[in-house]
Amino acid sequence: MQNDRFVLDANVFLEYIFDRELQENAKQILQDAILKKIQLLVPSLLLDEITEVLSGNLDNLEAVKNHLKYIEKLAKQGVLQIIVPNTEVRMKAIEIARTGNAKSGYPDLTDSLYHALAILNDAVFITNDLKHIRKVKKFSHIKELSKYENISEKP
Amino acid sequence: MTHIVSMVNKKGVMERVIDVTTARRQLGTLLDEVFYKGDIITIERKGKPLAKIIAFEETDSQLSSEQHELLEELHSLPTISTDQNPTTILRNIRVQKRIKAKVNYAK
Repeated sequence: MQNDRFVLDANVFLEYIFDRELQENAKQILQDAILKKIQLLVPSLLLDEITEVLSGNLDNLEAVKNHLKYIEKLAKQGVLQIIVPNTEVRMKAIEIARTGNAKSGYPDLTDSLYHALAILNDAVFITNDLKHIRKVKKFSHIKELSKYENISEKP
Repeated sequence: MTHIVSMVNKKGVMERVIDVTTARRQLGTLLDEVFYKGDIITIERKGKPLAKIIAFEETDSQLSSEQHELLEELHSLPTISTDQNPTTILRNIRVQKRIKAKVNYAK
């Protein structure tokens, strides 16, 4: 892995929270960040998106609260750097969102905001959304969650 | 073995400073001392410390209590079960926002 700075999509946290098949990859990223092997950046909208998905789970509000608190703790202790996207990031996001075509589809502005944040911070956007990756290949700075490697295994 | 400095630190662990030549010659012995006795060895060249040999299991204790707490919680927080793929749920939320934005723009 060439870069040690990553922007995480909200779906990376959701893989962890909902114990999906890529949970171990998501945990590995968070663990690497806690151990200070990598840096994590996220746009401020990440918290709203996670809350929105979690709000559909009315059976286990205590668990929802605990996961939100954990993310808050990661941010407070500097593991997760939460960034309010500035104009430069927003303009880059618009540029990304305006690419694509009718056949492959156009990238969503929200995905593009995460991606733009990664591009402008020389980071890699990690996402589990393969559709978005297919639409924005030319911008690089993007990687599938399934392909995240343990930074400590780097030669 | 040539020790430049030898002392017991606050935790009762033997800490020694040795030169590069000694380290090169006696690496196997040094590793045994670090692993079995828990010694900590600093290697220096021309009076400048270059590296420290410490037992592998001790490297974890270099973590702060906050890091320990975060790691523990990461591996113990109860997960939430769902039949749906959360990535798809998130994708749908984003698509809905895009549709709403388009509708508003058309007005």
